[in-house]
Amino acid sequence: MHETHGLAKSLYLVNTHIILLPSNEGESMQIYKKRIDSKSFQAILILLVLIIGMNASMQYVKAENHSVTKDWVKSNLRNANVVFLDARSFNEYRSGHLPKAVNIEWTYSYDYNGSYKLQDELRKIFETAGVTPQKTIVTYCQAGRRAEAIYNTLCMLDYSQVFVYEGSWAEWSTDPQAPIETKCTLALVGGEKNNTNTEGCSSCSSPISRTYTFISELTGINRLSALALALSNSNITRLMAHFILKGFIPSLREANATKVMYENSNGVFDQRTQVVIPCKPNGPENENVTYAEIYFVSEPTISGAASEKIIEGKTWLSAYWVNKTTSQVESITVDPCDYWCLLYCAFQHPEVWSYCIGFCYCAFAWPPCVLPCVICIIGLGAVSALCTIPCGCWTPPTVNIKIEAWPTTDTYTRSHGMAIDQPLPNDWWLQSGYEFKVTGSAFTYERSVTINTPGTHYVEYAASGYVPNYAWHAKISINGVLKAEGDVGRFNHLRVYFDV
Amino acid sequence: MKITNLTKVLWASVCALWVFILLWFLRQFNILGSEYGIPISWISAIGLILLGVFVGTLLSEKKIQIRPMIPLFIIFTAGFFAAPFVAVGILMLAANFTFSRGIEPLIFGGSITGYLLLYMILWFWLRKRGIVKL
Repeated sequence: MHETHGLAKSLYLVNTHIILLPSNEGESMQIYKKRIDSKSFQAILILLVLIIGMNASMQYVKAENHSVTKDWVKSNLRNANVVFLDARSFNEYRSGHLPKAVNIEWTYSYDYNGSYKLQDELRKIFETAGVTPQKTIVTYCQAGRRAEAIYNTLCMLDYSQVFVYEGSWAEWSTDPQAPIETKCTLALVGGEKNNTNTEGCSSCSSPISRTYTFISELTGINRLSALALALSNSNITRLMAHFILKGFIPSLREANATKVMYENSNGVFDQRTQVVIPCKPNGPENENVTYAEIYFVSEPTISGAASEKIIEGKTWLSAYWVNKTTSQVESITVDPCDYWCLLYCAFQHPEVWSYCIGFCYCAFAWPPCVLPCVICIIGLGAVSALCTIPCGCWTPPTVNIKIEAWPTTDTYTRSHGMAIDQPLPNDWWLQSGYEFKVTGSAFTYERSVTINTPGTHYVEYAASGYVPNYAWHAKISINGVLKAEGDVGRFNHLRVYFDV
Repeated sequence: MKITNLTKVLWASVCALWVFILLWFLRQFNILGSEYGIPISWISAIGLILLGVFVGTLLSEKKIQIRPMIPLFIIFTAGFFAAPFVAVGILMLAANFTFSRGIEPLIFGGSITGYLLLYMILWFWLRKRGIVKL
């Protein structure tokens, strides 16, 4: 006991005065009592209580003097010097807001880890949206709490004319006389002014750029979970991402999934899985404030349960999203096989390791421990294996397809078409995307394709002649191995199957 | 403490470990939600406490003597921690073969398990031969 106290000399901090207590216990207690009994200590304590109390009172007074009523808001709706600042999420904002209100979600004040952003960055965000110190700022949200948060941010930035509309949207929206606007006056995202849309909120921009910046900074073994954090935790209102498998997004597991139609970068509509993920401003366990919409494509997989895995958001290899500011598709790709991820998986449960080392070492001294040791080792392997699934170690292989063809009874120039993992349509030569060659003489065609899913696949080839009078003869080889040979025509397709 | 009681403590900690692993699996597959994260941690902690009680009892019963075991314990633990690295090495080799596609988790988990079991057998054999004395 005495020795334990002697190990470290305690630091006792009182109002920035650091008192070093001696190691001797008796002496320590005496000095401690002496300090408490001293008048200077008592004075400091009283001062502290006063400061805290005054601070709380000041906050109250400040709030009292800096709130506005619904009538005040109504009378100042056309006042050019008054800026109404909507602190709600973009989706709440676009469903209806005060006329000409700008939307800066309250979470934009904070970094992804919950701390305030740098003041310069914050000023840029507000000033870009027209929220300048020269103007009178009125913050509001649904019930006033988020408005107070952004009010505090503005106070921190030395904005002097800031008010909170405490009734906020809960009061405003229930007043039939209160005007409501649904078009986007301004949706501010990631500190960038994106557009002033007068058409309606459905096409307002989203804070992709900041998310992208965050994602691009990710390095190391934690990048997968960090990306998950970025997606679920950053100040985004709408993210369109196209996830192709593999990786690990633990915080997305509880996402809800629905099917939606989504227009891809080629202007083609295809069905994606939409996952709406609650975003958490101050950490993964907090309540949702805004949300991200992530679109998963339901294609490549490492197992038969692809769509379920995707819906659970566990696995991905590449993420694509549309940067609405630039209208470009941006992406991030994670290494197909991340060995650091494997090691991370293996060591992520130190408690299991503790069990195993304890049981197994005991086994040398006490035979009953042998069985628990073996059980524990199997458990450790299983725990590591399960975690390993999303590390993305399956590399899509490249398959070489070789087609050799020559006319037998045909004398005309013909169209030659091919399809992978889908049958050639009846009028394939009239459709785009199938024809790879137009010729009337013998040819050899080779093509390398990446197959993203393990399993059985097939290639189908045809020429636009007729069998038997205008026929071609063809051979198809996969990775140098002849797989099929026969006569082909527009309705006589040659198909080969191969396994990956 | 009687040997029977000691065995009970041992199996109590084993059960706690397996309850923990079972819950962890259910959590991984999203059958249990995030609200179970804290109870799972608690079960894990209780299991470790039971394990500590068990090891402490072993020590007090003088079934294990720590002092002569320390160097071997360090070697043993280091060998244990080598397992995932060995497993990654095996997986890197296996990745060159087509059979490994899609079954990497089995290879990785199996490598860890296999390596550790072989390692345990080696230690038992060394002990039996009298090369390692505990």
